[in-house]
Amino acid sequence: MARYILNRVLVAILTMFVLATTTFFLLRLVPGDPMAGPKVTPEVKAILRKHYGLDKPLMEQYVVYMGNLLRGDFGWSMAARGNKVNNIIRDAFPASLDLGVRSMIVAIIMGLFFGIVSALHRGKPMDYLTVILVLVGISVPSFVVAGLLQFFFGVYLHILPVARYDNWKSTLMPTFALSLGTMATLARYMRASMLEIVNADYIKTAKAKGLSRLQIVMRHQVRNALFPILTILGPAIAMVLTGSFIIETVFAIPGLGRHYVTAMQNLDYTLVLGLTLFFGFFLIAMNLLVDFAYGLIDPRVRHTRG
Amino acid sequence: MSELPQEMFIPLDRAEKAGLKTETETIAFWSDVWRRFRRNKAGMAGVIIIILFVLLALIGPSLVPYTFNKIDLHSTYIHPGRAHWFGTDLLGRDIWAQLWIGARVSLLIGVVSALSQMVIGTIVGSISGIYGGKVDMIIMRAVDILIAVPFLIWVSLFMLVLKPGIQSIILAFSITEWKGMARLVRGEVLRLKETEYVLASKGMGASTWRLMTKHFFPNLLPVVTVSMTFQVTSAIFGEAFLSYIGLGIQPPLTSWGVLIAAGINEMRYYTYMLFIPAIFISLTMLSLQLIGDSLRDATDPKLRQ
Repeated sequence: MARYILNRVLVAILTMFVLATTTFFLLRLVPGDPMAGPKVTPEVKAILRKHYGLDKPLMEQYVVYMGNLLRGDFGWSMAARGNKVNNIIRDAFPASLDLGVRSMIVAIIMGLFFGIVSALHRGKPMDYLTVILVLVGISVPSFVVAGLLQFFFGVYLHILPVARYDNWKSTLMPTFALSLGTMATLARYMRASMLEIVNADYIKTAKAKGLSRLQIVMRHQVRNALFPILTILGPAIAMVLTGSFIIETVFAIPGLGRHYVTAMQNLDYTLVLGLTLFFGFFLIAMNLLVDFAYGLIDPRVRHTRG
Repeated sequence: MSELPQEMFIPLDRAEKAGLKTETETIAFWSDVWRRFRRNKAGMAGVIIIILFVLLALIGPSLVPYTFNKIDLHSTYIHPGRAHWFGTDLLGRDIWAQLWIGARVSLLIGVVSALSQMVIGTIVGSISGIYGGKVDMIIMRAVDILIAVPFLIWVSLFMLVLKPGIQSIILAFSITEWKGMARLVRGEVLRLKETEYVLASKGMGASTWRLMTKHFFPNLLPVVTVSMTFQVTSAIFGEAFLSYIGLGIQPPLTSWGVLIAAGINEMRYYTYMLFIPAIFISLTMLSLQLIGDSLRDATDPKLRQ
């Protein structure tokens, strides 16, 4: 187990390094000048370029950036002048985290619920209802869901605020819009996972022992069906994260996702770079955690890869 | 073993060889898939909707007397009706015409990106699976790194570098999205390598090329086709996402993403501008999803009856 963990951590560190390097050089290829503006004279531009270290050779800039990165410093934002990327992340992360955690909780609870219920009622109305929900959740793009929700509950019915994120009522629509896709994916996998083991030997044994249906379902079927679900938790977190770009933009939520979208529109290299790395590191760390959790819970992984 | 005298082995001449050929065309499998696919109502509904949309994308714009980018400031924001079937937008452009030009763009991006991802993914995946060792390790590490970051982030980064447009979007999708296909193909190749017919073929001295064309590719085709259907959906969604945040298709050209972005801005008073593209993009995604699902069931040998 220790060697497995060490191996995974080393790969994660390598991945982060490659990600930082690729993104750094990729963003230097972006055409356009973040310093451009009608009031920016050549002298001012020269001062700005010096301030951001853009006058130094590319390799030197890279070494400086990577050095700062090791100390956890993402540098200065180019568009939001005088603002450090770290401060932007610090200010915007809580809102994104709040929305992300709420959405994950809703997606997991509802997704598992629908998956279990439809597997237990296979071929009955409840199953078809879930299948329809899953298909809608997967096929309707999140911005369409967000737009339609805004229209019905905000504009038409006037019962929920159209935008912002300051009280619990304003969290409802963004949370639902963000969780729908993930919920559908989880429901689909949970259903398949439940059906896969419905004829497993240990379920037959449990039946033969005369356990009640509830006991069989809860203690044997659901429990074992959950293992494969853990592996898609990583992609599910990534889905919620990228979904937040759209949802935060549509609902004007001051989170990281919206900053990311505006930074791309403003050609704010340092902010795009910083946020990409932040998202990348966050997801890599999350995937590691999921992997370890899987190793801890499933004895087969613990022993074979140890 | 060495008791067999050389004279017992007589080389066959060409004509005799041809007569001994036992290979037959593998039509049986696909006609069986089609038979099973046809029985699935949802999948067939998906096919019909997609065919209809493709036809409308081809002829739709010419059914109305307006071009999609014709600005007419005397007829802005006309609600759907007889003059403009799906209404007009803030510049008086006909939405019906825009919708089907947008469908061309979105479907083209979806299909071409999925195809090129399939080609790249299959090539990289088979190299990885067939050669193994160091080559495999390097390729799989690259795949790990690509997977660590969601594809929308990669695609957005590439779109910042590339000039916005249809080709760039397709290029960005192709560079970043082959990883899933490569993993899938590698896994399949590793599995196929262990099968007895491949072993037999190898034993009879088949070259790697022959193994690939005769055994690997035909057997890969079902999984690859199914996965491609889903890639089309993800590319259409990706285009809409990029256009929505302003990195995708640029006006005056239009796409479903551009139309939805406009619709969300205008929904307060002109709801049809959101509803119309929303319904069409959702129906397309739904149909492709249904086709993919039922194709997966139809190609799954375990579900064969």
